[in-house]
Amino acid sequence: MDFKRIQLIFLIVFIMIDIFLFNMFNENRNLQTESVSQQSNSNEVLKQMQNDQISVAFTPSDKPLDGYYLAATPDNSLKNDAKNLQNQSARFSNGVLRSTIKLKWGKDSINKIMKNRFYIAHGNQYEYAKDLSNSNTIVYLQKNDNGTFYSNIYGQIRFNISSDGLVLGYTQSYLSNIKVLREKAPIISASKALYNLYQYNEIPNNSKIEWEQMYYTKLLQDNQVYIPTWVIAFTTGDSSNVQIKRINAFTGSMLNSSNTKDAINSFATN
Amino acid sequence: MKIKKMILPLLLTVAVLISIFLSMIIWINPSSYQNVNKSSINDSNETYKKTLPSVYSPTQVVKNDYTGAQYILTNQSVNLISEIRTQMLSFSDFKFSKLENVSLNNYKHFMSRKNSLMLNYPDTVTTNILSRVLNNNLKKLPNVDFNRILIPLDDNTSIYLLHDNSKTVYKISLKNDNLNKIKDIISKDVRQIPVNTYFKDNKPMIAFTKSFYMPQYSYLYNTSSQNFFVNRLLPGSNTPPKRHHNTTIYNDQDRRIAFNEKNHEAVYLDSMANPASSDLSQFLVQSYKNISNLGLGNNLNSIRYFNYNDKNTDITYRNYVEGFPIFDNNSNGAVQMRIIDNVSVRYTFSLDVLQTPVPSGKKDLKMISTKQVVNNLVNLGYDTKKIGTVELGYQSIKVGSSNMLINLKPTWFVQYNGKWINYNKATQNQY
Repeated sequence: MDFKRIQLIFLIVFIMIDIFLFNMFNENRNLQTESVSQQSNSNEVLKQMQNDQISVAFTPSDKPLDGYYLAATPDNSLKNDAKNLQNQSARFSNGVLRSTIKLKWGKDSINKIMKNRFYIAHGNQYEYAKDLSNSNTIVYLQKNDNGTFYSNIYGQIRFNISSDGLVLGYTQSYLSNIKVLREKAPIISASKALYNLYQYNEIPNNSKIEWEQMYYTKLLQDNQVYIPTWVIAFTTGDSSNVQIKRINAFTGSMLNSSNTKDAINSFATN
Repeated sequence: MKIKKMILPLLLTVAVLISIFLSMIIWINPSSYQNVNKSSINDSNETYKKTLPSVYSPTQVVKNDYTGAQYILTNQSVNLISEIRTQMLSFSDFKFSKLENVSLNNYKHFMSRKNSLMLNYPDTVTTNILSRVLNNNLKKLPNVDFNRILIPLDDNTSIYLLHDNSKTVYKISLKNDNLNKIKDIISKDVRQIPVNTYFKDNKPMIAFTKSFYMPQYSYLYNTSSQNFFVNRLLPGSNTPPKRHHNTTIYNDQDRRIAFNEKNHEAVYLDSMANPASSDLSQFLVQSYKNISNLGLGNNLNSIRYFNYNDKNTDITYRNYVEGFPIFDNNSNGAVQMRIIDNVSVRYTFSLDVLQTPVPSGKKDLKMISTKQVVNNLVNLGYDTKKIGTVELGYQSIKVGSSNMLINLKPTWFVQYNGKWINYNKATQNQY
């Protein structure tokens, strides 16, 4: 009888030990998966986002890049350039040239007219921005050797396109005195920037990341410093409204100044 | 009946086997807690390892052209040193030798070798440190002291290491397939300022021979909070801080940190530090490790090793802007670490951290030649014998109207009687 009782006690003790060990084993496994998930390579990011029903329309690159602190000032020289422009009536106010085209061009010919300084001043310094363009508006952004500028007003040309594909007019602003403020420094990769934005909880579930570009954007509203920024655009749910967020490519932190809002407004209104 | 009797021992056996099995799995798999701890340690190791190559990189590039004329090279848009370092990473097939019987004249000859590039350190380092800068490329070389790297521009089979204090020259035979790339780096968008090398008390110095212009810079800066450092460095401190004039002092049993409210300088005394190594390489690595543990954040990106003082066993790091050191109002550099005794270490650092460069809107400033600097000081009554190194640097000036902006003004700094003095202030030719 006593032996049976001892066996029973042992059984209970061992079952308790088993439960304890199993818990430990389970905890161990969970922590290991967690530490693996801390790796932020692009595949892992995409997988985690998929779990939140966030889809990405492209594969963000893991490649590390370099960037500069740049200074640029809005330029009024377009005022003089306006006088020499042909086939349009152009006027300049508040840093922006507004032009109405007399002889309507087809939108396919924009690339050609950009190269002609009698049609578009400094046209060779701008680059077509496919992601920012749509059927009503074609956007070109100002570019120099160091990168492309994307600011709320300055450094871009926006062509208004009619429903039958003709260029009706355009607005243009221009940045000059572009200077390097500090020597080249490494910046984070596109996939790291996307991962950071996701970790900041800035991307709602059920969103689609439409595009991601490295543009020089304004760091602070009241000075002329431009820094490399990962600009990420996404749509949420069935809405076609594109939201734009910026990540500081030097530090990986979120930039949520009013500048972003302006950028969204100017994007949405055109 | 028999089966019923067997159930209990059978269950017991199964329970024992399960516990053995689970114990084995847990033992074989590395413990979860260890894993988590390790990864966080790796993180802090990573930041220190990542910034170490830039902190212990040379700070000055001097070119000797084919006529023997010397120039300091600067480039405002790329860091010449880090570009050259990238090319040096592919050096291979090293053979190390010490050149015998190098006289002072031989040494002078090496320093002005025609058609060569010289990468200068502000103070002595070791081959071990250089190896760490070059991703452990030179691991197998003997560990020797030096302060200049000479790269001949007409010979892709060797470089030389020069040590001013002992006048020793080491030759490293190697394979340098990137010589043309290095030549490209030092010719594209580079500004050349004429200099020459002269010897004072048998110590080589670099003098700017003509007057020249230097750009001025402006930066936005941030002042780190005292609380951040108190929480980080004195986590066990419960006693309220003591105030004394402009100074706030926090204490715990073994550590003490004092903040000067006026010049934003912190002095941190750690009486429980690890003993410092007497080996220079280990000392340099360990002191940088300690400094990166202080939590200086952004400051680590632009500081460079500036000076090692054998007598006081102190080491100074300074912020650099476009290849030139910044001298703050306090004379201790961006961070200074001083060994007090076997177990005490004192750190002095600034709470002000340079953040974002902004357009200075100021014209380049005309600088007089090194000779003129010395002459002017001597005319004012300074003793020639006490004048040591004359260094071109930047003086940081806080802009009164805004508490966010620092102007960096190119200024001469002179080591007088072992202490750095600001030439502008010394001659009362203040801004």
